[in-house]
Amino acid sequence: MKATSNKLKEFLPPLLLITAIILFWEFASIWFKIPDYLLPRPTRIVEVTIAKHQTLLNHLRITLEEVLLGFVVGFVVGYGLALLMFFSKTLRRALNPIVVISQTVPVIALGPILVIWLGYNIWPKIIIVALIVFFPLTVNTFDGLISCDPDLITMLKSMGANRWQIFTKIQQPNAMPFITSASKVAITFSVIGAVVAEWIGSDKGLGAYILQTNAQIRTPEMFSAIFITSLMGIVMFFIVQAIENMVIPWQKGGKTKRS
Amino acid sequence: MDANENNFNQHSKIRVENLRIAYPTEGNKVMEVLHDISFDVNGGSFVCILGPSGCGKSTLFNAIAGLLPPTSGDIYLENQKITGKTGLVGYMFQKDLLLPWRSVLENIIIGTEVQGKNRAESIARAKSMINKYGLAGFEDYYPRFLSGGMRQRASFLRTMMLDNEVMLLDEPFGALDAQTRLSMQEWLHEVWRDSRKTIIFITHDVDESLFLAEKVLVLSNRPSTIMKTIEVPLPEKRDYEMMGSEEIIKLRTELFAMLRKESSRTLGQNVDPIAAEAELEEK
Repeated sequence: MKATSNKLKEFLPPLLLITAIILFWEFASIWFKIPDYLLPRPTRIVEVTIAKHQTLLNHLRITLEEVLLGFVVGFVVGYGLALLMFFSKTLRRALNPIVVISQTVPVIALGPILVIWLGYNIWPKIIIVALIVFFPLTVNTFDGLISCDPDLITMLKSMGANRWQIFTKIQQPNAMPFITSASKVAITFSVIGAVVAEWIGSDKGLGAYILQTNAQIRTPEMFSAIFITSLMGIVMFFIVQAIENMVIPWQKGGKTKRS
Repeated sequence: MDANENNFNQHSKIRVENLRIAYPTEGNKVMEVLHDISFDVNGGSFVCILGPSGCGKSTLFNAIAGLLPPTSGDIYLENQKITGKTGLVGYMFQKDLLLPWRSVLENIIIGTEVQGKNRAESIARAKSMINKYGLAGFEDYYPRFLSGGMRQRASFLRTMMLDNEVMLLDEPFGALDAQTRLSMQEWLHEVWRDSRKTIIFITHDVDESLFLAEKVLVLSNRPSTIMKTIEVPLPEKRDYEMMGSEEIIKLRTELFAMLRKESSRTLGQNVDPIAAEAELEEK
């Protein structure tokens, strides 16, 4: 009982506000006679979404693929770079500026050249998403690895632990909350990255669809695609959050460990 | 080689010989933390090292545990030289240092993982210790949900699980409130009588040292030496009432006076040994 009422308290205010905004939008559009090509009404957007759901789903599938593959590549590269920088001081010095430079070069500027190099396929998009994803992962994983309490390391050393045991038993678990929190940032960015990547060179995917419908002034379809993109980002974020709750139960779970 | 020549004592469990630890500091100066420390601890005994705050007691333990190479001198375990070797003596720190991502049980067996022992056997042993030593029902808890006293018990059991015969305890109850502290002292004494481990216990608390130890080594301030060795005139099984005996009160007064004198001697001497140690590690 108490849990349900608490949940209600948590979700009610945003739900009410969003409903109010949608209603206002709907009625204002009718009242001021705003044409669809400028700002379609919510009901019109829903209508179009239902009518075009097959097309939208196809585009969604493409974008989802780019986001997931790009995220995985970016995650692996980002984590790997953090490990290299963590274990070798020389590599740390060498890689640090390159990692930062990679984020100051506008990704959009890289897009066209990636298309020339790799062709008109999924690879430029994966690379663009990965470029966006890897940075928060490298920075946070590295911080997580070095931020661990040195006394914990001394304690394990006193037991005769070697470098590898110190890494697996202390430094890596210590970095876990940093990694999950970087993943939440990265997955959100990766959706934006995929859409932008599609703008640069693609005829498939939600980003490409947004561009096409915009050019043809099919504004309701465009809005529908924008909402679906945003919804995808939200869903991805919550999936990562659910995974986070599973992998760092000592911070997110109850008092005891279930094994 | 004649063993007698080397201070041979067949009951000796751990022996510290002419230990000296000095750090180079700025301007080609040398800061001496331990001047010349020698002592011998018999197997199964309980020895307290009593000294004023900042006198280098922890430095002494770090050297015995093999974490800090001494400038000169050696450490022997059962007459085998162990200077600079880790993993041979159990070491419990003032902070509980439990890993937040491990349950109490998993924390307690971490040392056996490092040692590469059979996991199932370690868990069984840990569980029986948990039940025997007052943590029953808490084995699956994450440490942050335990009280300070319970966390220190878990930390102690983790050190016990290492199965080293010698245990170094560095002010393990220093951060606890007075009540918990007393009950933990009684608890520790009981565990010691039961397990017959060789315990070396650091404290700056005179009462704590007299209640726990068979023998108290009093350390001077930096550069530290052993100023005095005291055999505590109490039976092995003891309680707090015995602390009111005339003999103990006399000893207590004497020790307090010694520590007071040592503390005042250092006022104005402002080198932090931990900072110096960190600095040395940087290099």
